[in-house]
Amino acid sequence: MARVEWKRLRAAEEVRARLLAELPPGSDASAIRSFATAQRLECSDPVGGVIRCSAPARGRWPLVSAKWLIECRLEDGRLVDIAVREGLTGP
Amino acid sequence: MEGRPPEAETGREAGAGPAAGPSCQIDVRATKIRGLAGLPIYHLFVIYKDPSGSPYFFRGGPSGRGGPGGYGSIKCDHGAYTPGTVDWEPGAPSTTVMSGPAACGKDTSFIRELSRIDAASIPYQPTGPNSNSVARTILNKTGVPEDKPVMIAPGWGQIL
Repeated sequence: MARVEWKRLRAAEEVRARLLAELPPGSDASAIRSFATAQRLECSDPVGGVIRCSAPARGRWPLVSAKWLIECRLEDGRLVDIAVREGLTGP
Repeated sequence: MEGRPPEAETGREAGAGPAAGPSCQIDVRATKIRGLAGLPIYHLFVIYKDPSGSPYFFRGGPSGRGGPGGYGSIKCDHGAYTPGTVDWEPGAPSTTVMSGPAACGKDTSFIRELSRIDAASIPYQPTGPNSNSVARTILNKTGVPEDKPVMIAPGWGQIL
């Protein structure tokens, strides 16, 4: 599996499409964990049917860092959707 | 001087006696801002631990669209503090500003304040108003002692 260059992805929808290409609906939690480990994502355990992960994103300003915040939504232990948004952190 | 890293995210302190009722805890935590060589500048956020010890975050940041400099307005967020959340950093400098029964329920007040700040569409500026102003404000407006674990946090002096 090729390493995803998260900082080269410019839009949340682009990140979502990249994730869904690797983790199609129906994937189980262990597949998500394997992908997260291979891509060095920081992820939670499933909580309320959601696994939350973060990936580095490209910052646009010197004092503001960015992350892709990823929510993998599971039903009956299987992935049904992925939502992605950008989280910005500054002083 | 920086604050100590927080204790484990769940569970009570070792040696604590029997609880006299629900007990909660409020911390202010700091993550270092990358991008300024040599200058330690910090982002502050608030962690509330409910009676079971589960941690929740309360924070602000730039929306990233529009406004002066393109930073947008201050956008607030809250939720369970877990890996994968925006401020997740278990070893972050931290200071406990309130604990015990009096801290319980402050999470509801924090959410109310975050909603008020969001609704005000305040333009974000790195020097303030900013995320540090949000952390200070939610403590100030809810009767929680205002303290921080680090020295340099621009915007801390601004109440929104």
